[in-house]
Amino acid sequence: MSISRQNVETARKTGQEFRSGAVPISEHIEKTISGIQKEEPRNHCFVTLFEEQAHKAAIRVAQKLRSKEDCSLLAGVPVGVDDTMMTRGRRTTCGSGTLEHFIPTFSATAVQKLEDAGMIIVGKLNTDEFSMGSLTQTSFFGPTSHPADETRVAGAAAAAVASGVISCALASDTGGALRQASAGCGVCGIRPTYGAVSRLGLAAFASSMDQIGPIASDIRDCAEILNIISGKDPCDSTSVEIDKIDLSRIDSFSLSGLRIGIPSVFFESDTDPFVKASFHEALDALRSEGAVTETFSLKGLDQAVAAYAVISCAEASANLSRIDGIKYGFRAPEAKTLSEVYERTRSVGFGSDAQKRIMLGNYFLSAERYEEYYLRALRVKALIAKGFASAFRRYDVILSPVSPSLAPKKEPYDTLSMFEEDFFTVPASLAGLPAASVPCGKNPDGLSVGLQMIGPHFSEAKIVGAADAFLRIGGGQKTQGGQK
Amino acid sequence: MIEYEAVIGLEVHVELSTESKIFCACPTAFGGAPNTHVCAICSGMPGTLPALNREVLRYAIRAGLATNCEITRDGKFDRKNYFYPDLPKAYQISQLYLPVCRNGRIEIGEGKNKKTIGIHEMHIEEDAGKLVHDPEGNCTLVDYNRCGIPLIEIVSKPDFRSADEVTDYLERLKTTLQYIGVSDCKMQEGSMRADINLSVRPVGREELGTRTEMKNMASLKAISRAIEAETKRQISRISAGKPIKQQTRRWDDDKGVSFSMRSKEDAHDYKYFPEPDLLPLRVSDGMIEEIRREIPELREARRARYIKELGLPEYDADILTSSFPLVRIFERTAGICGNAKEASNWIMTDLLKLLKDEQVAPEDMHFPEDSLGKIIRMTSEGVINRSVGRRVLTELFGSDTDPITYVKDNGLAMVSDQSVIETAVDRAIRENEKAVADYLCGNPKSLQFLIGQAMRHLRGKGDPQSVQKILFEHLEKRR
Ligand SMILES: [Zn+2]
Repeated sequence: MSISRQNVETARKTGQEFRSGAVPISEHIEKTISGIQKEEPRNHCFVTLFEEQAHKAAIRVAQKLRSKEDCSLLAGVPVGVDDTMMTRGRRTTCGSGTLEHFIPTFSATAVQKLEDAGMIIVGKLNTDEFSMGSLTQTSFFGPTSHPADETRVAGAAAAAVASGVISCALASDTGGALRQASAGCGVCGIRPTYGAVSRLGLAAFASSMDQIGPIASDIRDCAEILNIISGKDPCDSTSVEIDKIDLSRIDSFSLSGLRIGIPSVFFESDTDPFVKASFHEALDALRSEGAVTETFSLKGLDQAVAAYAVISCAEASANLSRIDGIKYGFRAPEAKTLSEVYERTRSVGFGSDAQKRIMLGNYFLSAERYEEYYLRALRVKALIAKGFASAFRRYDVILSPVSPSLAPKKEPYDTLSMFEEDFFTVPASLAGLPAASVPCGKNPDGLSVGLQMIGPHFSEAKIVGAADAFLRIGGGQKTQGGQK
Repeated sequence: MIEYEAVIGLEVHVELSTESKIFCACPTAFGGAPNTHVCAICSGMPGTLPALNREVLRYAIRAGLATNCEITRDGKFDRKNYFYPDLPKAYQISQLYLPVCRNGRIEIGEGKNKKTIGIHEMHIEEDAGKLVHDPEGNCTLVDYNRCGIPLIEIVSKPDFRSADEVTDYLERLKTTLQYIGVSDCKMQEGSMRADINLSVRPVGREELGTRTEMKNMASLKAISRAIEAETKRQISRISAGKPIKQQTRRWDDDKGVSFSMRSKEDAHDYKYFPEPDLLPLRVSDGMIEEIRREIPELREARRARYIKELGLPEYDADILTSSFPLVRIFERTAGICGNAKEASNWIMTDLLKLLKDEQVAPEDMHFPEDSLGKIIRMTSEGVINRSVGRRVLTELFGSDTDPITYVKDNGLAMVSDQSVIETAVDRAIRENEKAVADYLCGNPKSLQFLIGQAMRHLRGKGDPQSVQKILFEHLEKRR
């Protein structure tokens, strides 16, 4: 089953119906949860449902709305949260067997901000183990099914939104998970500028690239959620204050004269023909509205995946060391000595992909390899960031496909080819740039592809404007097609 | 016979006395029930992030300035990775590549033995927790209270040649750090601990020998003994033609010997890399100048002032300024009793004796800072006499009880009631006919004896002047 975009109510419209009193929040939450429960055996989007807490929150928020307390436009709207984000007093597994029963003592800042805005967290979404992957293939709880094809995988936040059980969700994006999940399911997602959203309470995968962002069927909903969760957090030193996106100005955004750059290496890559064709069609559509496209060369892009692999594995190896069986989480019951506690807990607790990345990370950071790998990767990262900075003097946005292939089958994967899937998405991650994924085509089997729009730091408003204009001209609504 | 010399370098860890921990808001107070000074951040919960306590940077810079270091303008933090249960994140946030201070020095020795010890660098890091063995459960437990207490590690150059130089340096480092208020340097509580790197070489040779390391030494005496023993051990091995292995050794102070813990081959690869969760440290000239102005008068200047302005003997000034806790208690006491010389006398004779008898270092002393001043004031105001004052000091040393309350509650105030004193004097005269006779025959010693007797009847609380006066009058009446 798949619900087309138009049939899903936007989060903003749902919020409006709550404020006007047309729909009672409690009733809507109850419907949402029973909808999730009905689809769950097939979709497998959620790891944990917060049924009881959501009902209580619904009563609380309804009370607030009745007493005309200051609430956001999305007050009362149900939302799903990726299970790598801490939810105080409610199970948070990070998609890992090591934290299967873990209950955190605090909420992620982004989660707290959603709840402060009156949004209701209905449950935790399936995720790759500690975000290591994009399409839930490495989750301890098994993969999420693609809404259009049960034999294929999907990112859970995007799948839940695409299947219509929720209208919006929070996901995390390190090398492109949020964008690839959105593209694969034909929904919108934004990875904000690094630092725009606090990382506090997001279980760290690669700290220098991890970001939280919104996924929704509607790009304006994404912007609305981003406005709620963004901003400086004193508890995250790397967070920054950013301007809120003025949604009232989006309608007037014009594609005419928009300067679009496309790194030439993006045309040369080994990309699925349908993905390629959809990308070209999207460019045609934009040009027909007066946008100007140009290819350019961006140094270091050919090494981006390698640099990303080195940096992310290195940081992950340190970040995941705290999962040691001493303080919380799983501990191998048969372990007797200290080194057995470490070795068995970690080799039984972590999935094979996580173990591979941890070992790679340790290798890259070892005293003999540090310069050859880690420092070199940092140089590539700096080179790419510099290349983007100079490109953005000439272009408003840089476009590319999101994923080189269509949603993969549920079958064994290997870590290295998973890195290759990140070809289009890691450059923005390395440079800390904001990037959106918007739907730009659907093949006859219902598998979607996305268009990536990358902007300069803190250009979220511009990206949302361009994405919205692109969707208004029907860029994302094509099914079939592809062949020119 | 070849003569050998020891070449010694020190890495000194000092806990900074900021109110809260380095990356969270937990208190740094020593002690507390296990795992009560702990939060999600310092216990390494998933999703937590460090947020630097800016005071830590200021304290470290203050320590750097007081030891003549260059201050790094663009510092940063690095992760040092290793597994141990007392390290909840399994990495320690430290500084490898750009430490906060570098190239400092401390002068040691006196006169022609003066010598400069170089400070290679000083970096900021977080402390780890403590493992506690639970004999009942026959298992090891972890206390995270100490996790995240800010530390500075002060790495000296290998400039020491003897245990005496090392202890002299540590004493001076301790005094300086206490003076500038960045640490209490209580070795007993582990807020100052040293790692010793030691090698030996024939005198006159440039090139260094293979060194061994002894970690976490927490008393000056143990450090001194360990250096002497390790020097001897290395010389005897070399003399016997045996090689020195590069290794970490553990000093057993009770047995007076060290044991090999691990050798170079199984040394850790800490896989350092830049800490991505913290921003680089930017230190401006303005900030350095501001911190420089906060540094209080250091030992030499204070010692000179005590002699010149307060008129204290050189010896007294020397002792009083030797440790900042003594400076603090001296200045507080002098402030309360209004008499610097009197304050100095009491500290030099009475307080130091108590410290010595109880084997307590001044910084470990548990005694309210205003107690001694109050005792001295009571004696000068005639509330108690001097010997009662001494008694009160001895009895209250190590307790929080207020001396004024104590004197009142125990009825120690001086008796100046004429009739009470007269009764006591009468009794002394009546019971000591012989002494009275001696006195009247011209033996002045008898007067002292009779005063003593009268005081005894007054249980030591008589105002000595009144007692003497009344006794004198009564005796003279008998002539
Ligand atoms: Zn804490």
